[in-house]
Amino acid sequence: MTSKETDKRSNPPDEEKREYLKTVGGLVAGLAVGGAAAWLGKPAERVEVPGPTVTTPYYGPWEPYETKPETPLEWVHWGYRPDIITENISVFNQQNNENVIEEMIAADYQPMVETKWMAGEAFDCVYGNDYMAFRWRALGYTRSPEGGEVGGVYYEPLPFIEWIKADMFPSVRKAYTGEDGKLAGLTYFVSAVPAMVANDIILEEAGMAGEYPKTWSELYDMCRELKKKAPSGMIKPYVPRFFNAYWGSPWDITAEVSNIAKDPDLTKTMWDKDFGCIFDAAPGDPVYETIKNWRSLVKDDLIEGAVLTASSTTPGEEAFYTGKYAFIGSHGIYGYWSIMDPAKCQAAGRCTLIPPTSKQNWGVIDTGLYCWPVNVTDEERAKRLIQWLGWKTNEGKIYTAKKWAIEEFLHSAYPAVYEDEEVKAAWATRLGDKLDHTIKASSGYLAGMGIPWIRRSPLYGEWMDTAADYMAKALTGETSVEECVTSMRDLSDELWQKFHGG
Amino acid sequence: MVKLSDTGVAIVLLTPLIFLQMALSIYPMVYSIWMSVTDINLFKGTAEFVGGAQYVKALTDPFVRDSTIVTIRFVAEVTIIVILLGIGVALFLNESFKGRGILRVLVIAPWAISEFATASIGRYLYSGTYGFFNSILLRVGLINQVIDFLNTPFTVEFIALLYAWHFAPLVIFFVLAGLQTIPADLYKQAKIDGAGSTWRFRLITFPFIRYALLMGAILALIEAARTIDVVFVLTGGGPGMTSVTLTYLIYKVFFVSRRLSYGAAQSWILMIGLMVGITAYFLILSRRK
Repeated sequence: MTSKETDKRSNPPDEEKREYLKTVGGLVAGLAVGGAAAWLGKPAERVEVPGPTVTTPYYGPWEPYETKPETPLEWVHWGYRPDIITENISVFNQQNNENVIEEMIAADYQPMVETKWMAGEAFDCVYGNDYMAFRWRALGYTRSPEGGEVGGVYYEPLPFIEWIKADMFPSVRKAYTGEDGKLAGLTYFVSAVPAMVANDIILEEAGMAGEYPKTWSELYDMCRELKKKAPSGMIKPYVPRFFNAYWGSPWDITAEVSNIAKDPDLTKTMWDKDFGCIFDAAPGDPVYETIKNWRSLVKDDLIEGAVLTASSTTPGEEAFYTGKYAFIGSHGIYGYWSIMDPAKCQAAGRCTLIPPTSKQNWGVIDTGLYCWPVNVTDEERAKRLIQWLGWKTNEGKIYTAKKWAIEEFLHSAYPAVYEDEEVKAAWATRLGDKLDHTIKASSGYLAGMGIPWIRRSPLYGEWMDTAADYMAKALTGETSVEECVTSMRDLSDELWQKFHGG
Repeated sequence: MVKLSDTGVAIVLLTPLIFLQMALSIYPMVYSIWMSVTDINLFKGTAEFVGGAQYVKALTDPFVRDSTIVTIRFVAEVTIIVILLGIGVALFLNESFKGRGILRVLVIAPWAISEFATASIGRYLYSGTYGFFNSILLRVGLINQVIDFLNTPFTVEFIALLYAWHFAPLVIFFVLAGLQTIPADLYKQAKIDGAGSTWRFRLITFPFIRYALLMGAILALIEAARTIDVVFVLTGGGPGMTSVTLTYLIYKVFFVSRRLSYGAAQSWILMIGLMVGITAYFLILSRRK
């Protein structure tokens, strides 16, 4: 960075901004001083700002660089809609006269990213799921946007971090907060898995129009009833997410247990605050009972068999798209967007996102974060990039979250996105008269979904993968439910020893 | 100007290759041996020497045992189907008929597509909901209820069939190349001597294609044993864990769970198994009477 650029950041804002600052008062000015000091790279006291806010004040040396930096910043990401990512980079580069390049990792994302760090590579922003973000912080690869010490080095917080936090859904803020009380990253998207969707055509055929399950047990009862009624055109009542991958059955067991036990962080039912395993193969234990229920669904032929020979959501989704199934545990709220696409699903327009009720919520958090590595190309530029991507643009507008919402129905940690008229208009084109219902239902999901505390432990990552194998065996009857739960518990205990013992 | 001896030229030419080989093969192999005798904990940043403990653990692990059985079953089935298809189709393509040239080009097509694409095609063929086979069988009235091919006790066989379809063209062309080296006179003489088709195949054809079959069988064994895509896309190892091959298990253990030491030990067990299999092939097929 040139001295000129540094000076520009430390100098007072231009007249227009000065006027604006005067109007928002001393509180914001205090924040601005803190922000500017942080921007300079000097240690700053954390400025406490009361929240939440409706409108976030804009301040900052958010002028584009006078000279385009020669050394590029690098953003490492996975391969979901890379075209949108490229477009976002292009807008960022344009607004800031920046030089950001991207690297897409198409497969084995997490190990590849970690290998880059192990090799000492510097990059400036990286996608991560919440459990990855927590793991990377614990390993000292990334820092919190709230700043703090990593490996003996103090890192500055983002200048507007308190405002960013205040803008977030409380449940999501909680889900992003690590053991040290600090955020692991900024929001890319947030969703709930599974999001329950009903095919209204099949329900009508069965004389059950408008009857939506309010709990998991009601869902299973309805599946049994539907099988008895055998409405014409129905192949099977339910397409669950029982596929064999770490993001299949392991996510669903945490979802269902947290939902039925009303234990969002699962610390009373699966793992305590110290990550010790507390579930067991005993009647009445919610984990045991849930897997027993799943086994019954398979045995009673209530579910689409393709999910048992799948390693992803695709076979189950493709089955549901035929319009011949009553319910699907959709992969995320965004899965509903594809279901409502007439080009994909034969029941498009006639499917409903089943809302959470006071009786029970649905799903467990599925989220992506913009994580901020410790080893970056350029501290100041990386700071600007992460804030721009994970919060607001130079003009103080939420850009990336809105873009993802419009293009892919991805939800954000910032509820302001759903209030945006442009977003609503885009969603209305496909959701039609279901728009208001869907916004209300999805907000309900985000407010009350499972947010497992265990995701802060590195044991969770390893547990998920092998637990999927145990559950796959139990679902087909290769092993008993008792054996499955005992193995999952033993595995958790072993991993606890590995990561937290001694 | 320095004039190099023949040995000097050889050294100059080989040195870069030796370094490349060291970097790309030898170093990773030695490194993986080191990994397999340690217990690496990335989180704690430790690598404790544990000797053969990872191997003992792997050899007593029911997942490894089951997936080894699946692998042997899968590899054996693929190899048999590939060899039979290789001989049968090559003999057919060796005959003279109209359109033989076009057919030879078409036959190579399944090998030209990726394993991932092969598996995706397989999903559309086998699916119980929208599958091609079910559609045909229903239409011709052979079944009245769909069959979820991949959710049966024969899942491994269906995967093997698909993989053999993908891999067979290579062997077909190996064998075809062998067939074209056989002098036609040999067959004429054998016929004059009264040899039937079986004897002609045994005494003339087989000796000429023996090495093509050996290479084909070895390649089929290695490729089938190391394939991941087909299992991953087609069944994800399911239903349950009934179609998890050892390579797929290693992939899960090493790359997904990041249990590096344990995955490395499993890899070496697979490697030793493959070497035993390949040696057996050599002994059987290169034996001369």
